[in-house]
Amino acid sequence: PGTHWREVMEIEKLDIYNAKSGKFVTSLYGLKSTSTILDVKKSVQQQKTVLHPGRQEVRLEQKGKSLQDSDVLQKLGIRSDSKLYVKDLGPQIGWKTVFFAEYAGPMLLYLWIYQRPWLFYGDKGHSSPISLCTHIAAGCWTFHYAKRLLETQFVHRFSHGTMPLFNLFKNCTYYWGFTAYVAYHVNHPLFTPPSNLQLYAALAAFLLCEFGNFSIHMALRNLRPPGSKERKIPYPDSNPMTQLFNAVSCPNYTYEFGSWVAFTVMTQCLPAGMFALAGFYQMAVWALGKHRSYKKDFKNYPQRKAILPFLL
Amino acid sequence: MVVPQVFSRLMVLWPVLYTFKGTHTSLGLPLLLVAWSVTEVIRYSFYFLNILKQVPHILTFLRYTLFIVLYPVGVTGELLCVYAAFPDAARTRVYSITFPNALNFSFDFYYALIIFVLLYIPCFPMLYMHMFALRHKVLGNTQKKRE
Repeated sequence: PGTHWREVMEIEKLDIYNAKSGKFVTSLYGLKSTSTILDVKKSVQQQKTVLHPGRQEVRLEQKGKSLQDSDVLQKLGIRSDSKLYVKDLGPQIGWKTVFFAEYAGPMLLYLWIYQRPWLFYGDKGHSSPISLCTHIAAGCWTFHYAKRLLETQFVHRFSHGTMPLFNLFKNCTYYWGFTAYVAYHVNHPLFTPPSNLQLYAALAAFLLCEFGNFSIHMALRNLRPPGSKERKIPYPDSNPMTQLFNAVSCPNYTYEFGSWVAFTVMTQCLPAGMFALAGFYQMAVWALGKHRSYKKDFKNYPQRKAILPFLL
Repeated sequence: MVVPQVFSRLMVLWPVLYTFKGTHTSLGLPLLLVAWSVTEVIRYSFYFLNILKQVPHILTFLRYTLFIVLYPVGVTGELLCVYAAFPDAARTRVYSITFPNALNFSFDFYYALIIFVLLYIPCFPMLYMHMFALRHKVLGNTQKKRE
């Protein structure tokens, strides 16, 4: 489908090179001009059984862009004796598993520490009543991660089916570690809540930012209809929260940082501030990359910053 | 690579060795002194002569070979010294911030020391393997050049 009506040509030999070292790996035989990159990956797997297709990235150039599984060899200009590069992405894990570990984990861990278990607080765990602020903070934390789980299930569209296994350990250490660190302090028997004015103002800001973040996720989802590979510049839609697109390329990160700043002010807790800063650092790195990539792909890209309006 | 090494040295030197005199009788102290000293003499000679582009092969060889013994010896020394500080750190709770306070922050130096020691478990193999890879890259090449 999509190819001209002509003879399907044999691709007698396809040479595979290692993208990392540049060295020759093996030759593939018996492919056709109508074969896809996925067929190439399966053929590679027949010779190197550990490399299941999800673990391979195929490129035309050694340091070139990744090709899609559905790309047809003829359309890519590949003929017999052509060269392709394969990168081993390492052991992979399904993204749904990852997100459960990364999002459900922190949610449940926080709720457990919220009970002031003996393991963290010893016998003094129940020496004082839980403040309203602590209750609200637990609610906000749970809401944030529940929202993430739902978005993962229903909103986000992922370009890759899997991610490297090492990332799971790295990300979980980060999420679970910080969850324990923040939760220990906010749920401590000697935790000192701020004034009610500060508590409620920050709670309002938190909810606003959560809604903002969700609005951006929805706008990004609608930007690309399913199945299309078209890249488009995101613009504000009918939701006023999306106006932030006029100021930054990645307003979802801006709102997320806003949520965590609000959470920090709500709890007046330094560890929460550290968590907000750590998250901001990572999101800024991502936003700057995304921003650069937008500017490269679109000559008419509007004047925007990456993550902080007017600043960064 | 450099950051973990500098950080671990500073941690062992000031918050541990300088703060807790009880650590001075640990076997770890002479171990780490020997390991650090030998390493540094070779390392800085290497850096200096490198600027002049006059590094004798024997120095390169020593720099990328002695670590095989000196790294584990140094790490053992560091861990023994920190371990020697545990009882005093637990008892005096020095360098710690407790609840309650305005920023709802706490820091328990004793637990920080424990985490510091646990970090050696992933970090040491990583750094050690990295040195072996460097060794292969640097010494492997000069062998080829000789041939």
